[in-house]
Amino acid sequence: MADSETPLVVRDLHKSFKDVSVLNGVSLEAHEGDVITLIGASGSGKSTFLRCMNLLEVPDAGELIVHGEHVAFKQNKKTREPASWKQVERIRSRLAMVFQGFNLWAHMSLIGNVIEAPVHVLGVPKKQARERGMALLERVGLADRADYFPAQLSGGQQQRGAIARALAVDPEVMLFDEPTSALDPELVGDVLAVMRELADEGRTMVVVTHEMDFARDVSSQVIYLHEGRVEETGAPAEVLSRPDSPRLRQFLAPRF
Amino acid sequence: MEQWLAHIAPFLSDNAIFTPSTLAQYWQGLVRTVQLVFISLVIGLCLAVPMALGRASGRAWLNAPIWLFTYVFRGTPLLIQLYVAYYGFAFIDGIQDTRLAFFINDPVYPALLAFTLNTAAYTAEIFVGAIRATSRGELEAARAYGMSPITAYRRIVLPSAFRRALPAYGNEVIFMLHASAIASAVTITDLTGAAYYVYARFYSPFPAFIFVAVVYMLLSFALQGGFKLLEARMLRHLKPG
Ligand SMILES: Nc1ncnc2c1ncn2[C@@H]1O[C@H](COP(=O)(O)OP(=O)(O)OP(=O)(O)O)[C@@H](O)[C@H]1O
Ligand SMILES: [Mg+2]
Repeated sequence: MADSETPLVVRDLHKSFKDVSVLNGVSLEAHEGDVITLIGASGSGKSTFLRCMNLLEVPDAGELIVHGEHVAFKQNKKTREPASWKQVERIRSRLAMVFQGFNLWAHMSLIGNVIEAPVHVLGVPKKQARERGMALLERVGLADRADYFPAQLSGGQQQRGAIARALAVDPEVMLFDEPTSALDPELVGDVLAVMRELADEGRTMVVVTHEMDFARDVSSQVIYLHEGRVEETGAPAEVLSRPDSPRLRQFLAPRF
Repeated sequence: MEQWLAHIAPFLSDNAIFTPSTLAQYWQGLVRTVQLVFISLVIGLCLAVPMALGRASGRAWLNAPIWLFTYVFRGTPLLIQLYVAYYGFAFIDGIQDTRLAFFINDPVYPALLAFTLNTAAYTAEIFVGAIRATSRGELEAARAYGMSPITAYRRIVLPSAFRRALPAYGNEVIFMLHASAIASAVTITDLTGAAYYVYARFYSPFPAFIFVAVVYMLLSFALQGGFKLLEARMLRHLKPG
């Protein structure tokens, strides 16, 4: 039931790059507190789907509704683009993204990264942003690293810092694109632990992941994408334990 | 200055070349060199930043003319550029009667023009390279957090590009200091001009030119040290651990 209270609704999204069609009508509805995991083989369109949600990619067709606000598009001759980039910027500032490669701003300290969007996009006073930023770094276990630069932190610390940066804008929905895939195995746990906490406290999240344990334990809904379509979706207990689709069964089969 | 000269005068007493008068000559040359280099670097930098932005904008109508400008100024000798500015403008009919007369009456102005445009061209290319080397991921994060293109440039692209450009820009500054020696070719009494004057007066090239070489070297070291300090501060974010 999409209404003005639903944080994120995506309907029938289509996206092609040149002639290659990557998304062929995918939909998703994230209600308050939902944790939706997107799984699927490499190239199935997971990242593209996620990037369409905050318009890092502009979908060719489909609807995007953030907390009841429809994103307006205008059709040019061949391409579609958002009718108002101001609206896009506003919507982006309410959906925080956590990237596979962290993408912290290298010339800024960790705390600088965390307060950047609050101060320079949302207009929060610097002092206030700093206090809140320090509290967030405390949460992700990095209070003592506030003045370090990203290059001086481990991958796991950078990713937890990136999560603090995302939390700093107090987002409607957090979007994660394989947040642990670039990490050494021993660093994955810390990041997943932070994400579990966020889920427990009722954050709305959409997570692209290959961590099946995380998907099983934490998510409220799993979406299995195949060639840009939702091949199977539902509660993790059903989708991951008793998959209907042979493709999903094969995808989930232990790989030795 | 006079006091200082009086102070060291005794040490120079048994020395025919480095008299208070020639030292004053060198001093004025030094002042002139520093003026020339400093002013052209400052104005050149102010021109280079918008040029680099235009080059990096991806708009052909902006990029192409700036590219041509930098191509010409980096593709020809600075000495030729200086000659064109110095001799060229003097041959424009009636320029003596216009407000631009000052420009041809003092060789400092053509020299400033040539030096400024030359360093602007080099600096612009240094900055374009640095801007283009911006991490795609960082730029994407800026967009993803709702920064407008202007905010993203102001907060992310330019601060990181300026830092990356710092070592190359430091080289450009020292290059300009050395290149400014050719100002003496259009009758400007800069450091090199002073050395030439002293040489011509005493016919002793070694003392005259080696002394001035040492002065250039000290200036270079000072600049290099300054940039090293600046880099240590501005580029510390790149040091791991
Ligand atoms: N900017 C782009 N230009 C052209 N093709 C693209 C672009 N981005 C993605 N694609 C293509 O779209 C398809 C889906 O890519 P996407 O990154 O969404 O897959 P994914 O499911 O995230 O895969 P992975 O698990 O490897 O990250 C791929 O075939 C990819 O080559
Ligand atoms: Mg991906």
